[in-house]
Amino acid sequence: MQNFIFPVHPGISTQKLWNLAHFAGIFQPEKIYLLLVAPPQHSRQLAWLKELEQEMADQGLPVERLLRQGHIPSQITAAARTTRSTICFIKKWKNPLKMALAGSVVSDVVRMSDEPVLIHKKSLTSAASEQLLTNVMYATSFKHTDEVCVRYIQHPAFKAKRLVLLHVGRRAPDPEAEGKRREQVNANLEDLARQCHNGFETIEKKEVVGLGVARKILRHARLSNIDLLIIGKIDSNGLFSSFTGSTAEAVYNSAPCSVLVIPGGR
Amino acid sequence: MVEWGQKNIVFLASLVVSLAVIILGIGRPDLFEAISGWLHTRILDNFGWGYLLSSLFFLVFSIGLAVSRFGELKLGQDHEKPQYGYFGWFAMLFAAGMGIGLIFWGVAEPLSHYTAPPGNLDPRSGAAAAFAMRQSFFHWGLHPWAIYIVMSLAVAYFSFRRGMPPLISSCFYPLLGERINGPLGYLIDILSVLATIFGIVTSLGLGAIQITSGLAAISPLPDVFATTLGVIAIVTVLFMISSLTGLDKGIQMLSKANIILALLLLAFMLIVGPTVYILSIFTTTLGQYFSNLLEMSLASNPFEGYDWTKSWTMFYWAWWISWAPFVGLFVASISRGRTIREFILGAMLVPTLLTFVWFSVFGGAGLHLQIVSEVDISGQVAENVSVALFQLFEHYPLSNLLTLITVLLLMVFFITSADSATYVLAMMTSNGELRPANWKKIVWGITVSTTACILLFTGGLEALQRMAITAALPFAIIMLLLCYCLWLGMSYELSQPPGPNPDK
Repeated sequence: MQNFIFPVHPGISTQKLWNLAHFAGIFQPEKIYLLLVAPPQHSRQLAWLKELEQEMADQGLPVERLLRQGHIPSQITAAARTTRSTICFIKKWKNPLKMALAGSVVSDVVRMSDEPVLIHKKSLTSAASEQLLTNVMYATSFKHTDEVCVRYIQHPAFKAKRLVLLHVGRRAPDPEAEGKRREQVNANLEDLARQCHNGFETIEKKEVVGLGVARKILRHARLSNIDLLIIGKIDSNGLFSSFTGSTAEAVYNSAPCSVLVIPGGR
Repeated sequence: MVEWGQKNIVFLASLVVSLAVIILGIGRPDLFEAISGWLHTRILDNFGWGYLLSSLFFLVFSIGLAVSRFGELKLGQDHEKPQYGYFGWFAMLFAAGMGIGLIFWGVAEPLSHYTAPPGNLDPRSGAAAAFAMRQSFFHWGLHPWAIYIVMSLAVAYFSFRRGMPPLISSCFYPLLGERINGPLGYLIDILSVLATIFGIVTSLGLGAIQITSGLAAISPLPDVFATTLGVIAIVTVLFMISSLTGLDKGIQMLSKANIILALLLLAFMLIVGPTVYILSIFTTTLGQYFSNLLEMSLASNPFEGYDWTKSWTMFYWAWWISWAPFVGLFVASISRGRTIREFILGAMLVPTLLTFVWFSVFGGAGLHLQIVSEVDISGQVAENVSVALFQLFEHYPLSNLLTLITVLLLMVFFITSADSATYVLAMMTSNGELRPANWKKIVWGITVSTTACILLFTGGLEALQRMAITAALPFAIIMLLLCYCLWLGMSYELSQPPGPNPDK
């Protein structure tokens, strides 16, 4: 988490933007980019952006403004790729009908981005506590994304009281194979817990069996009162998943908490 | 006692429910008729399209599995070899899957479609004849076998490869987990037992009627209920003996004898009958069948001919689905050691080809009599479907011998079907024991035969057939879920890295 990119627009909640900036600041980034995708000669928006940049710079944040034109999700992902930044969104409720008709920039960015995407839903930091987060959940599939995600969880600035490692697995075809699968899952979770050790007070390991992975992750995030859900994203080549999207895409929208989607490539 | 009850919960519940349905059929045949008629009509009226779609799906799914990487998996451990040779396997497949039905409908179905096609075709026209043959191929071709294959493949995969009891509920492990050993699993197995009982009673009842007609044609025995009763009694004794000797000997021996007899009959008719006409019909209909397969598969004909589709195609699809638990379990039990590809291609193509030849020979000979020789055989068939084949034989040399062979064939098919059914019923009600207790076979054998006798007497056989078809609706859903479970199980297996024990 060297750089962050905040896609902004004049309608954004300043309070939430400050919360997000505070969260990003803890990671001591080299740069925080304020990205505005707007039509050319939009002087009012440009003036607003300059003002915001100045305000943040006054607070000691290493901000820099970026102005782009064109298809918003493409511009955001392109800017993130060139600056190697984590994209940070402030999630607000959107009418499902409007979302279905007009689409969602966040959805498109989660789908298109090769850089991590943070969707901020509620305050990730508590001023009263030194702890950055209280409850973090990492939904693992024991695939190659683990390696990338663990690097984030091990980041020195990444502090939380409790880490929940959740695996939603598919039941084996018979009881004997299922027993072996469970043993393997427990061993994997144990191994992951060792790798994730980063000053957490507790690391919980959970395994859930069944179909509907996204639904089960969300349910457990809700039950465990999670502040931040970390999930790896794998771009599938499958025909079916190319229509339905990845689990990460399904999770972020309904999550009761902030979500960090970390792409793991193909 | 409680422990015994828990162990035999499927047996007890199935016996109680089937007896209750049968008692209703005996005590209040009018009510039974009304209930079964209402259910049957409602289901076909409202879900007929679902049968068409799901049957096509089963066909596509089966072919898809055969050509996919899953085709290489074996129905058993990797080192296992098939328990039965090809001839024995095909013979048993054919005897269990079609058997009596083919003899019953071989002549009757093409002639029925020829004289009473859907409204858009002129009865007794050339187009009606082509339609009659095409539809007969369609109703008895790839689709029924695909339905059976889905069921038997799921049972064989989860029992022989994954080591679970050979029960339909076992196939739901990837979806239900340990809950297959609870009420949901029991419900699936009870439903399978009921569908099997209703189906087999109906089939045996119809078979007994045809045997009686055949006997009446060649002997002084009258075509009356008492003769049918005698036929059922003799056949029951025979199939019970066959059943108690075990699957390896009884069914295999009888099925092989029967297939030889059937092939002889087929060859005789092909040679003595209008050979060129038959071969021409076979070739033409084969082409029409394959070029119209997709269209026929999805033709619910809502604008014209819906009633025809409902009473034939949809009825057949429901009938095959209701038979699937019985045939599926039986076919699974004889297919251990074969690869999925070999199993699907073998069980789909060979019986289908034989069925096509059968319909071409007997249906073609019937149509030849009707169209070329101008003998009104279809009129006689319309009066009594069960005599169709015997009516045909009357116009050929050695008709008495042919009728005798057919009666023998029917009796042996009757015995093999009842034998396999009692075996499957006993297995399903013994928690999937591959060697179920003999007393359970006896209970089911007597239940099936007695019920067939009683319902033939009270006239409730058709009502029971409708009840079997009613069971096809939940079974179509169960089978769609089975496909999903099968895919889950096999894709899980192939997603695992090869371990030290390649058998699991």
